[in-house]
Amino acid sequence: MQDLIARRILVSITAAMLVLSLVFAIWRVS
Amino acid sequence: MPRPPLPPYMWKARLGGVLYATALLAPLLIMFVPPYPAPTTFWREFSVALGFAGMAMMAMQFIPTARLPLFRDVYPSDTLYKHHRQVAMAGFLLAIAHPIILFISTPSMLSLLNPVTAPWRARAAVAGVICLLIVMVTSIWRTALKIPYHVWRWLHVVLTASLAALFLFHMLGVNRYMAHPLMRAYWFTMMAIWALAVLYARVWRPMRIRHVPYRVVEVRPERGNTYTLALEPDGHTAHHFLAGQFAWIAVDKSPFTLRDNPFSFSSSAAQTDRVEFAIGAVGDFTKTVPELTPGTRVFLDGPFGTFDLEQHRGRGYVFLAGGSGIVPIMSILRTMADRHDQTPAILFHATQTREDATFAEEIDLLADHLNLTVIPVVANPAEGYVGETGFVDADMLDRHLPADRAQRQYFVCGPPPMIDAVVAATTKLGVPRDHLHSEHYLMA
Repeated sequence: MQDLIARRILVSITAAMLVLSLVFAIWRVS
Repeated sequence: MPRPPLPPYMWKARLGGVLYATALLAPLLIMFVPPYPAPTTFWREFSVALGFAGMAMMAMQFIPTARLPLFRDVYPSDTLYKHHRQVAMAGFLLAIAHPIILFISTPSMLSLLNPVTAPWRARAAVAGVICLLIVMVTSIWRTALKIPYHVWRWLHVVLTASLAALFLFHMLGVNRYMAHPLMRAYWFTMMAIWALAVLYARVWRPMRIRHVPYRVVEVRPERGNTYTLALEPDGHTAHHFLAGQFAWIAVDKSPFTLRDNPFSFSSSAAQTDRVEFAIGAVGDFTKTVPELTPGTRVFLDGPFGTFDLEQHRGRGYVFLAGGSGIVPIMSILRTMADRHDQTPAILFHATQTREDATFAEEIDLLADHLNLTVIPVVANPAEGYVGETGFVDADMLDRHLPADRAQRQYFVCGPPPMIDAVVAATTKLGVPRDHLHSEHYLMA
């Protein structure tokens, strides 16, 4: 069960970081 | 039907997860807070954000392995180490995307790779990437490169500390988003937490365990190239542990060492005057176990791990052991016998050959006292062998599991392919995922 939580944390954080980086870059140059 | 309430350890697991995720995402969120440096191009801003994201991921990787209570009490240790490796890899990919995007979008920046003309902030970044590559290569291919475990651990600590210092120097040298007071506060806090975690793991804990040494009283050979290491507390009462947990063992004059290795307790948790570990003679340290003489001083750091009955009580148990994975399960069975626990249990004991089955005779004896059914599973059976052969799968489980299979708690300890096979098989048979508890056998 805990390994599922750990995997979810990994996937969510990586996805959130990519999206936030993209949003940040678009917002900075807009 | 309402969902049953979550057990307390799950709330702790979620709290730890939320705090950890917040700390990881903080630098990216701080970049949205004014004041901002002058904007540049899309690719440059994107690459800088990825750099911060990757750095945060890598910088936080001391947390899962620092043996901190919030994590070690709720996450199985193999899950923590697997997560440590996976996040470090994801952090590496994000961080390395930073210079790659910069060089592709602005080729003139390639001049920063010239160590003669480059400013110190660029030299630090290049040196940091070299350290990072060495860390990745020596961690992924440690066994193939034949690097002894304790040498690798020193290398890992020194190189990760160096690359963190070099990348921080680079970030402060560039000083665009790092000029923000919140961003500086975040990274300096991170460094302080890192220093505290190192002090906790390498100074405070060893100082505590220095006062509670153990002595080797017996080294006993078992089936399957395994040795039981029996220890007695030297001038104190033994550590209380839960059956199924493990401890880090250091055979040394001092507990201030990186030469400690994790092993599962094999003795009953009800026995407090003597503790035993069963150790397969396979690795650098484990091969030296047969040579340990009675009287040798040993330090124990632990217990750790969530692979125990206490947190996962059920109306019936199914144990699945592969190879050395029998060790923590043996501790559970011995503890159940000492406590006259008559909860119905089934043990699938998987080994290469029946001769390799560590503790086979004692398990048969225990079965007479417990409500236990033992199913030996042999991968390479001798000619004429009668019984289950091959690997544990859904059909095999289906043949032996009783009708109340979905209500039982499952404990699987073995090599990763076996754990994956058991997860798939139990899912197919309708066992709820939160009834399955696993431990990678390398931790056993």
